[in-house]
Parts: sequence; structure tokens; C-alpha cells
Amino acid sequence: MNVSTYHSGQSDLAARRGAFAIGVALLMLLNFCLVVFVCAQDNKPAAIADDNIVMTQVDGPADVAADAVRFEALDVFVDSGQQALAAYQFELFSTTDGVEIVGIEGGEHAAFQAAPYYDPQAMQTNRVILAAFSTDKELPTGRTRVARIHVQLQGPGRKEYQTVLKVSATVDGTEIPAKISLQQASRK
Amino acid sequence: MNQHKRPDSPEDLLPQEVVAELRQRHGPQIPVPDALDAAVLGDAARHLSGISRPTTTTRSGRRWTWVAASMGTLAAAVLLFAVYPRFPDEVPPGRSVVFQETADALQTGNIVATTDDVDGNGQVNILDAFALARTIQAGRPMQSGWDRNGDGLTNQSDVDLIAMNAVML
Repeated sequence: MNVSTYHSGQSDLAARRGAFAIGVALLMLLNFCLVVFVCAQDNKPAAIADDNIVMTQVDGPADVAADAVRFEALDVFVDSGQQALAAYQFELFSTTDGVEIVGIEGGEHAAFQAAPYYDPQAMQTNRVILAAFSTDKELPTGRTRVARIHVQLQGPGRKEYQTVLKVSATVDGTEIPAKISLQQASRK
Repeated sequence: MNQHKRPDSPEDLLPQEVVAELRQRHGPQIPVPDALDAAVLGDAARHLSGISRPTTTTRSGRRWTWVAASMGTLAAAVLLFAVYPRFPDEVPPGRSVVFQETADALQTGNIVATTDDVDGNGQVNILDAFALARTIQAGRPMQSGWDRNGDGLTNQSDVDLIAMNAVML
């Protein structure tokens, strides 16, 4: 028997087997990545249009101590244009320190005068999700105040808030475009 | 320059007395006739020839098994990628693919939501509570999955529960 030929044949066979195994492993890795990609996409949250994200700055006194506390009210408006607003949901949070939510009221229109739904744990924090709907026949159109949020502020300077309108709908539950805005409530 | 003769075997390094003692302990070498050597080799050759090495066909079969398995996995992944809803917005309106009551679906042909996703769009928000409230107000038939608090009734309490879940932080 030619020993060198035998060993050479064995090494060629081993090399082919190794290459084949690597190919199969790469194929399975590709499959795994594809499955992971699909699962990851499933959990991806729906994108929020940039138009629904609003940054608002509210000026505050500059000549107060760092531990000074004051209270303010913020009015949240939703403008649904000519379509009747029957439901909305938005998120508000402060991007600056020293802001705590201490109270939440309903809006100005009869359909949204009751306090909206919110998580009670949002109290004493700087973030809240508000939502409400109405099955009334009389619904607001145009720009309407849907909620008033009372905040406790600490320290001087302006505070910044971000509001994100997650959803707005009309009478039959169909989603409609709307714009959200935030402003400091006028003092009476 | 000194040149040392390289010993041919380790025995050359040992004293002759030690070598002689070792040879005596292992006994005399038994000469093996060439005929006996050839007979042993012949037996070994016949024995080894009876052992079948993997043929090309066998190796090819194993290889195709691996190829079939991997291609099957790839096909399943591609199929999953093609038919699975990647975004909640891609779920057809009025249908919930995430949760469903199989029995009801089989009986009625309708997909029934059993979670807070009343409108079946893949998301839970205030519109689900709104949809249920409108259904209650209109007196339309209820689905068993809408009794969210499990009290046997579908009413305002269930609407409130869905709405509260939608605003939870």
C-alpha cells in the first residue's frame, strides 16, 4: 500500500468535510439571524410621526433659590381641524429636572371635562400618559383644551416639556390627524 | 575542533555490563520465520479487507441530509419572514393575529380578541376602550374576550380597565 497516497487522500477528504461543515454552519447562522430579525421586528413599536412630538419651554423666574418650590398649571390642547375629536392619547414628560406632576384636570369642552385616564403612579414623577374618549354627540372641533396638568417646580429658570400625541380619533373610532400643543395656563 | 561520534542507539550509551544484564532479563530473542510473518500479514490483510469503508455514496447521502435540513430551516425562516406581520400597522384591520380564541374562530370564522386589543389592530390604546364603549352603547353583541375583569358582564368597568391599561407607565 502506498502510505503517502492514503494519507493525502484522507487529508483531502477531511478538508472537504471541514469546508462543508463550515458552509452548513454559516447557513444555519443565517437562518438564526433571519428568525431573530423577524422576532425583533415584531416587538418594534409603531413609529410616531415627528409632527406629533412637540417640545415646549416654559420660562420661570431666575431670581429664586435652587430649593425654592412653586406651582404652575399647563394646558394641553389638541387641534383636530374640522373633524370632531372623540378620543385622544398623549404622553407628557419633562426633560428638565425639578418637575413633579401633582394634579390632573379635564378639558374645557363638555365631552372632555371629566379627568382623563392616567396612571396614579405618575404623581410625583415627571412623566404621564393621558387618554380620554367621549361617546357624546357633541364633540369639539378645532383647537380645544383637553387637559390641565398641575406641576410642582423646583429651582429657577425655564422648564422644558415634551408632548407626544400617540393617537387621536373621531366619532367612529377612525384615526385622524391632529396637532398637540402645550402652554402655561393663564393665571386668574 | 572536537568531533564526537553520534551513537546509533541508546544502548551505545550504556555500559556493556548493563546491556548484558538487560538482555539476559528479557531473555533470548526469538527469531520469526519469514513464512510466519507473511502468514500473519496475510491474515491481517484479509481481516481489514472485510471492514467496509464509507463509500462515496454513503458520504454523499449524509451530506445531502445536512443540505436538506439546512435548506428546510432556511425555507421555514423565509416563510416566517414572509407571512408574519412585522409591524402592528400591517395587521389587517378588524383582525387580531396575536391572540385569538381558537374555538370561536373555528365555529364562527371570526377572529376574536381576548385581550385589551378590542379593535384588533395589534396595539392597546384608548381606541380599544373607545371601541368597546361604542359597542356597549350601540347594543351590539359582545365577545366573551371583552369581559376583562371576569365578572361575567361586559360593561363600563371593562372599558375603564382597558383604558387604564392603556395609560399605565
